[in-house]
Amino acid sequence: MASLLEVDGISASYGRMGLALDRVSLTVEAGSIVAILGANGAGKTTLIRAISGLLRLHGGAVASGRTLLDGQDVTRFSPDRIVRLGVAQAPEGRMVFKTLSVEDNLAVGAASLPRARRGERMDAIYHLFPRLAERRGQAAGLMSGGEQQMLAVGRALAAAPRLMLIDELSLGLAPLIVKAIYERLGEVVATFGTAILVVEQSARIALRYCDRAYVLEGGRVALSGTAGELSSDERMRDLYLGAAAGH
Amino acid sequence: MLGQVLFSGLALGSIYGLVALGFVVILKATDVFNFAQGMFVVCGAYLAVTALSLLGLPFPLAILFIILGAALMGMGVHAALIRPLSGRPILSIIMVTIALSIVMRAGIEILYGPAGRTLSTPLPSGGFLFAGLRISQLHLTAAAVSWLCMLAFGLFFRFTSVGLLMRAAADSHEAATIAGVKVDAMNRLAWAIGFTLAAIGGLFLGQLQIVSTELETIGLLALPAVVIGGMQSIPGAILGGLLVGVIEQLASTYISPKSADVMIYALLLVILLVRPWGLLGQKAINRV
Ligand SMILES: Nc1ncnc2c1ncn2[C@@H]1O[C@H](COP(=O)(O)OP(=O)(O)OP(=O)(O)O)[C@@H](O)[C@H]1O
Ligand SMILES: [Mg+2]
Repeated sequence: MASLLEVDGISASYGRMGLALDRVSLTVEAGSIVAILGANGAGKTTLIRAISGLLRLHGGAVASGRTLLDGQDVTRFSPDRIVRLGVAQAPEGRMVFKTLSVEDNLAVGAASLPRARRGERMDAIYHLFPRLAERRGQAAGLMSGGEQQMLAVGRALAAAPRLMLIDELSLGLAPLIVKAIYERLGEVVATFGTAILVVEQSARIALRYCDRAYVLEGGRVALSGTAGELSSDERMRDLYLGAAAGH
Repeated sequence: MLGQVLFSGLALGSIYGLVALGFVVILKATDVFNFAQGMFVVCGAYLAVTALSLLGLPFPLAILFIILGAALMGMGVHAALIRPLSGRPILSIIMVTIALSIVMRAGIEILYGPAGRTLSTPLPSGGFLFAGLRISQLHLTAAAVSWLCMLAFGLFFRFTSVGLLMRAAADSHEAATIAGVKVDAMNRLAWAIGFTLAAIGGLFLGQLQIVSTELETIGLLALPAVVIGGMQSIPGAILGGLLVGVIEQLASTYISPKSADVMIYALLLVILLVRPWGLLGQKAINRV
């Protein structure tokens, strides 16, 4: 049976600059959490954009390779079509709708669902993030960074995706909030069977909460494996986990 | 006397508010400061002439013709000029709207001739006395229909799911695209609505005055209305429209017809100096 997401040798670039992604392949199985690690500029965000059809919006394009969703080639689909096929995203920089209320932000996420399922879906998100329920009438632009991250995750979840893409989940968040969000995501995976592909700056966090990880370097996959394999990998320890690594 | 002036000022102001609302819808959705809004008003008036005088359509069909025609033209302008230029410097796009208005004016004068035309519709055109005021039924109808359209748009924008998606797209094209909104379709819809609201204004202005390309000047009163009310604000556009209407009538009655523009733009200047975000506009929400 085909994997939920299969990225098959994707190369991508922005304009005439060199390749930002160079034959990247990765697989995400249904119900799993997969991390993408890598230094600044390694191509993590570009990979997320390639999967979600957003490269063109940023002046980039897929040069070769394919992305398959349940075996269907979606490489050149428009972003809204990819969302409707069940791939939702919490983007880098959160990008909540600042002038809209929390409730309206979630409602936009849920808009791709049949009308009858929207209310129940929103309730599930408020249940997951009670903080959002407390603030439902507030303009999203006035929320704290952590709250906006919850909202960005919530808005993506509102679309009832099969696959969630999260870019820089832990950036700028207190460790306790990161922990809380990952625990919520664990519940989401357990209850809805949603798969998650998450970009992480922190290798330690990624290996604690994710099943597998891919390490990008200069647009290529330099390392990949299960969390267990990578924790004990020497290069991984030297480059990404630092001396105090391991548990 | 004053009551009479206020009545016609508020009635005309309601039409200006409607046209200004169309302007703001376009501005919010696509960040385009549309200098062709005045010609959209003229187009509405000529669509009415075409439907009623040239084609001889029955009135309800003529209304449908005007609305559909205006909506299609709005979509056409978006598809042909605005969408291809998205992402270009704001000045290029403004120039394009100015060029569009000039070309539209020339096109209309070629097609219909430069002379003005009278527009007659089955709308009631008499008057009656009420509390000592002479109420013109045409003014009253125009105001009522304008308010109905503004109310209908407000409800649509605030409470329907398409309205929600339009608000999301207006907030951020990128965020909306990521959330799965068809941003292009929303922008096209905004231009259709903006053009249609202007055209409905044109239907009434054409009847209150004479249908000619000179109506553009009146249509362009939407610009000071919007700046006075608050650029991105929908209630602001309506309030601005009403103010412009009232000031225009007061100035031309008590000072001189020519002074109306001076007074309107004097208020605009004062607003820009003391409250640049307009009466009901907001200073941008900026956090994070
Ligand atoms: N819109 C763009 N136009 C041109 N080049 C870009 C654009 N976005 C990214 N790049 C380039 O592509 C490469 C990969 O960038 P990308 O944003 O994918 O990195 P990243 O791994 O997400 O980094 P970070 O951890 O800093 O977010 C970089 O060299 C970057 O300069
Ligand atoms: Mg990035």
